[in-house]
Amino acid sequence: MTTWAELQQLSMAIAQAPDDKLIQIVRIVDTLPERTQLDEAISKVRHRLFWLKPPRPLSLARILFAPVEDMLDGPLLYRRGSKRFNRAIIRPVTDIFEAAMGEAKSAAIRSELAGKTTKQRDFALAFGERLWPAAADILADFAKRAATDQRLRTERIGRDDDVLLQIADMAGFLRHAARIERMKADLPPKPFDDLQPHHVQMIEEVFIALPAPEDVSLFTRILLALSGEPAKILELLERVKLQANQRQRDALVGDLTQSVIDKLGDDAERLVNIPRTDLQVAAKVAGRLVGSLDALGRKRQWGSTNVDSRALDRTRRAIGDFVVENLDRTVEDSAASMAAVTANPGPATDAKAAEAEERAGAIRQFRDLARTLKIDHHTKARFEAITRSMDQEAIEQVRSAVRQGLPRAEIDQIIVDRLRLCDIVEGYERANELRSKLTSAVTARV
Amino acid sequence: MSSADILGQLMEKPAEFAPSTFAQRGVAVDFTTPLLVQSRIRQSDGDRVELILPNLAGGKGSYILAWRSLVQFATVTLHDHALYDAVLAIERMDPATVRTATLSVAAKGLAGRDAMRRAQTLLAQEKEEALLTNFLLVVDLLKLAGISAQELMTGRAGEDTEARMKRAIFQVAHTLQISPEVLYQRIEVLTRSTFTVGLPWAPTPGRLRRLLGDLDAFAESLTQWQSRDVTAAAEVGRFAAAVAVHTTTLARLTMGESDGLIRNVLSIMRNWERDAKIISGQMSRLAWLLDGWSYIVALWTSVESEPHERQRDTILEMARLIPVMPREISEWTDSGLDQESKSIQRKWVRLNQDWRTGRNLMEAVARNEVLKGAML
Repeated sequence: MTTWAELQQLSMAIAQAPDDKLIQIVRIVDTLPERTQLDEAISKVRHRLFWLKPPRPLSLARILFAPVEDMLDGPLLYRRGSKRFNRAIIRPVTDIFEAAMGEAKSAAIRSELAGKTTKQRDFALAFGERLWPAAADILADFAKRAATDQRLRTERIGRDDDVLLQIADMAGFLRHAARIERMKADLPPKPFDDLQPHHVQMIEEVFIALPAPEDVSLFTRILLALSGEPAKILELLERVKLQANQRQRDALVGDLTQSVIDKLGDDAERLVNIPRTDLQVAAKVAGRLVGSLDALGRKRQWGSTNVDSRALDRTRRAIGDFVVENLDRTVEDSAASMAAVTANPGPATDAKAAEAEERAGAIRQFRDLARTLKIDHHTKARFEAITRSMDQEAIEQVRSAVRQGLPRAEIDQIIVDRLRLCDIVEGYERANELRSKLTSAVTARV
Repeated sequence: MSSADILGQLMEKPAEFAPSTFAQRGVAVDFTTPLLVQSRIRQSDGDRVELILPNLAGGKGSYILAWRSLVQFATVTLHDHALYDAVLAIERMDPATVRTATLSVAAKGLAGRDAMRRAQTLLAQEKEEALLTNFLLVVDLLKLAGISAQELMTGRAGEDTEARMKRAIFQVAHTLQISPEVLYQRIEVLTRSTFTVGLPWAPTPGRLRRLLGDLDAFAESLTQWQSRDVTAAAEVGRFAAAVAVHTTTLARLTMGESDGLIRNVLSIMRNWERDAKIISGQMSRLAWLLDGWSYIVALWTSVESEPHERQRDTILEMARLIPVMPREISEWTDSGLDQESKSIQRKWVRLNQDWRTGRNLMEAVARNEVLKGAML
């Protein structure tokens, strides 16, 4: 039995594992028959797996949930009414499907999938095209029966109404699964910012072919899950051709707008989960959220829904707090950073220099965010402290380098590196001022 | 805006900016600020220079700005400020001098470490190529003057190679009825004009000759790509490939003429006043013709193994960068390509770009710096 402390330790080890090790760990975990707790540990690095894309065994559950994989939230993050899915329904949905198919057919499916991985995308799509319609019927039938048969429902999925709603919802997605997968294949990688005209045309062609507004809603939810700027998807939904009248379209847009606003709020609260070392990721995600909030806030009404400006403000405040927190942390770290460069003033390695530039880019982005969020009066002093300390650190590094008699080429490299950082954070004028200071620091000691 | 509208704007409307000469078109400069990437710079009245930017909103025409006006509304990188200063210090602005200025700035590290190393390598390579060209010219000249390589290697007893070379040069200078110093000077001038293209008999091709090969591959790759694409980008790809082929055709015509002439170095030395001007003019034309393509080729190469979708975005981005052919091109050849050149003056509406503020988009700057490290 794994204790909570052991699990925490394991989660930590997995989170800190380098990419190649992480791929190895996932490969081992995928071979284990019982992996509930390990799955929890892996869920913390799911974002990394998204980028690394290691080959995973093609299980029945993976194929069933492929069309909605971008809408799955872990049990702790999932929120009712969010128009997304709880990962916790994977097991009951798979069980319902297997029970309906019968032991023989389920075994045949498992054997056909044996040895196949997620890299075999053509196979997965072809297999899914056979599986999804049947699964849609099974789930729809179960949802219908369980709605009236309390005993069946309690036995198979428990008392929670939301699970039943999700299963019915899942049936809807599976009915269009093949078309969803083809649409996803033609879209830019997640999270996409912009859609080119041909993407819009493709989406329009898909939407116009859908008979009911509810079906359009399903596809739009997929697009919202994939897009980095959900407001643009809502705008798209407002103007593309549909088989719906204006009232139906407004209802559709309104319904989805509220879920987008809620999702942005949830995402803002989760910003704190970004590891403190990933400053650039934090800045990028926060920037994306603020962009979406601004886009949503530009209109008072989306479809039939009035924009809940208080909810938007709440989310903005959460992001603002996050920005301030990151700036405070950067200020706190500056003393240690100064001590490090004074002790070892040599030019940074290529990797370290690139990392420093990424961090500088993040600080710059935080400053832009502070302006957008109109909290710059609040963050001004912090930025000044950061830039002052960056300047001071640069001067100290050059002085120490001269003191330690480093070759001129190395000192020049330090100066260029520092000027680039200053240019990224503060721009040309300040970089020019810093150049004079650094040149003086060199000549003063020579 | 629908794909058809964009395509219409791209393919049908005549460009507002139609320079009559290459000098008026300006030299493409490897700026790293996304707003300025591959903007052209040209000499204006006196010491002033002008920047030619594609319409910031992606609409008709180009903006012609003074640097001072630009920095008032755009955030320009430290590297680009330094590059601008270096370009400003150039006496005669042409692709070769701007390239040297660009490499010198990049070699200081202001565009990042990769670009710095690449610039240092390219500068060293340039020196080697100039040295090789100089050597090959001298050897060829001596050969044409009847002094064999064997003679040069053996010579008189106790005489080293340098002395033998000097004596041979004296001999050639005497034949040409000029002083050895003048002969040296002429070889030096010829070297400076030709080393970027390289001599046709050189063991390795010069930079522009290599770029011409790359441009062939680019046109080939783009032609294949556009045949697989069914969107508006396919038309842009076809157009870019057509312009590349057009450019290589003109470049090859020019190169063929200059290669023919340079094969007789002795005749050039003899008819120096006339031939040196012709050679220098042709080399300069080649440089102007191929100006701006290095970035485009590097941009395409950087996405060649990327997914089709990413390549499509790059093609659309590339459209506005395709070098405009000036009217003076028709004076060079009788190929009737002047009419065709009019049809390749195009512009492209760039989607979703931060054109209003020219805000420094870090990722785009980083991408431009990486490309700087990959260009010829």
